[in-house]
Amino acid sequence: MDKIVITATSQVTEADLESARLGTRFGRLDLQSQLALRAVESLGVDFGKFSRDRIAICLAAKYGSLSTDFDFWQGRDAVGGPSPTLFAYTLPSAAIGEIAIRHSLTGPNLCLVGGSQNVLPEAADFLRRDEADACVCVFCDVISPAAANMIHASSAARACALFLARGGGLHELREFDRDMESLCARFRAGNP
Amino acid sequence: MEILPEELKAKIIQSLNLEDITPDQIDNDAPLFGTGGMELDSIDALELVVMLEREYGIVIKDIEVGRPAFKSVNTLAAFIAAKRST
Repeated sequence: MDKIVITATSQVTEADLESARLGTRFGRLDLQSQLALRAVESLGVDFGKFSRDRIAICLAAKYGSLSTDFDFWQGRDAVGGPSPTLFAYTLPSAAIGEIAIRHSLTGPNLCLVGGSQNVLPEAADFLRRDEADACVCVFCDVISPAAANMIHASSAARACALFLARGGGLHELREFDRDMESLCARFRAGNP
Repeated sequence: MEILPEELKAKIIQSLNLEDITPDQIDNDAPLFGTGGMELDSIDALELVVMLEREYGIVIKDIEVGRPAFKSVNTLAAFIAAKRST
């Protein structure tokens, strides 16, 4: 079997959203989905080089959908009730749907709540089991100040992404490549 | 009371968080849903129902009653005006 390699990486923060909106409907998305989409867009991968039903998506959301859950709950007393749009994002996997829709990706997908340490092993398994030829991996560290205050954490708004495929690429995936954030940071620094 | 389409379009843009679009870019007679118009979806429809209650105090309990009103900006403005005059 060909090597599993990382062909692209990206890291984005809320500041990156200011200059790079992604269409008329971008404002409808919750912050986590916006950052996830922006991170995937920043990979610069041409998904057309693959069969789109053979591209998997594996996403980890550190805080699940806690920020959106909190906003939705806060809206319960508003006239007319809370926003129906927000309701759609009270699932941690909503960002996977947005990525899949934007890039017409219909391969398998997996959503994890928590740190990024299981994303790469799970993504590699999609390829090893021949369920996919490539995998979009995304890690979101997103929690609003209000939600962070509730659980005594610090607010955060950032995401990173990388693209796994078979064959030649930037860097062969190693067993100990677990922390997506530090891996993407090392790529950014030119030191994978 | 008459509802100005421009006012209604601004509220639609705001409630749906539409970006890079201004009221004058929306055709008053273009379909709100489906192809050939704004191409809104079912979640947008629910958001507009909430907007009507919040902004105009109009509660739509039966979507079948409200369906003709959501055809275009003009039909929605007429629906709001009719509801407010009763």
